[in-house]
Amino acid sequence: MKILYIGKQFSDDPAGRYYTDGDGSGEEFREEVLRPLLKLNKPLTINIDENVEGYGSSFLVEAFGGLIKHGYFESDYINRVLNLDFNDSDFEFYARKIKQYIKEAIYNSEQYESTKETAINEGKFKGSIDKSFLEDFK
Amino acid sequence: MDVNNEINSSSIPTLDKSFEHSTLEYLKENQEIATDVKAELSSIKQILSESIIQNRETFEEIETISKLNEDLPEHTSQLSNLENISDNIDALSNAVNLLKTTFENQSNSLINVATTIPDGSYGLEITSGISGALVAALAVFIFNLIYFKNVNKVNKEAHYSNIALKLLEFFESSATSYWISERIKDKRKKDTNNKEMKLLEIKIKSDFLVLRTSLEKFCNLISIKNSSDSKQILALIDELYDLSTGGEFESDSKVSNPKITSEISKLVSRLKSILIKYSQQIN
Repeated sequence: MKILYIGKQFSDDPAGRYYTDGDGSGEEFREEVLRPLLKLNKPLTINIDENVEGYGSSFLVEAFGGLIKHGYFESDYINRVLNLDFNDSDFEFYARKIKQYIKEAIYNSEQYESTKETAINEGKFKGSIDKSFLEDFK
Repeated sequence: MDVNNEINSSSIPTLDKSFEHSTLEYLKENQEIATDVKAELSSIKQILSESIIQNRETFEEIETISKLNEDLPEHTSQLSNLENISDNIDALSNAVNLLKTTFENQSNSLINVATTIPDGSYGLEITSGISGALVAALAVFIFNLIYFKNVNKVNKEAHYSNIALKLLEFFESSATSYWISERIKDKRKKDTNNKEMKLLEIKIKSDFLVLRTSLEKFCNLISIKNSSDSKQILALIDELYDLSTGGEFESDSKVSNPKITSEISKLVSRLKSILIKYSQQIN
């Protein structure tokens, strides 16, 4: 089974909630990485501690809680296919918080409106993260 | 029989002179013999009397010897008991010697420790004193062991508590400064603070990591007897994380938010009030 490394394949500084907060935001990770991979209906393992110092709750809530909040998946499905991997015991806290956000999110409670176009227009989102690694998971 | 009466001259009527003479001679001889016999009888009587006395003494001696013979078995048995006593005394003496040797061997090492022995102390008192000292030393050792174990535990709690209090101060300073400020990224404005805000975001995330680790270790120390404090600390640290890194955290359009700033400060104060209880160290 292939493992998705957030710090190595997405961003070593995953930060912010929306596209308008810059590259490597929670919205970008959810829309362009998590959602496509979870749609494959295959078990997905995500490493959260390699090459990452830490996460803000804004990123985690938007990335993981947003999957349920915007009606993409139900929390039961995510709990079934998503596996969080870490070697550093300090990151157990972040794994626990991710599960908490998935559990607390209300399914399809908010209509999704992308901020990507605005971010591009304002020059805040540059699309600098290469996402070709997604092909390896298909 | 009276011999003198039998040879009375008047009893012989007539006799010639020669016969008379021979008769007188004969009487005289008889008289001498009678005297001798009398003397010998007296002597025999004396001897018999002495013999009787001697016999009596002999008899008494025999009786005494007989009585002694009767008592002999008793004396013999008494002699046997005396031998047993002698044996017991010997065994006792050996045991005392053995004890003495053992005591001397064991006390040699103790003498090095026990530098002072009261004047006029006897062996038993010295042994008693050393035993008492050993028991007292053992009691002191156990007391110290328990005491310092508790002291170490309390000091360890105080150590992590004081570290957490310091980290809380750093975290509060960074978080309140961040949330009270508006990010100004527009280069056309003079007072841009994007770098400062980015620095605060980095500090908040890294400070929180250390703060949470130290608080979790602290909670592990106090969790047994103060589980309510432990649970409260973990709940507060979760809430602090959501509040200080949620919302518009790391957003380019973050505005000043006095409400979040105030809530962060209140959470930090609640954490401090719990930690202060454990911050006193024992020297």
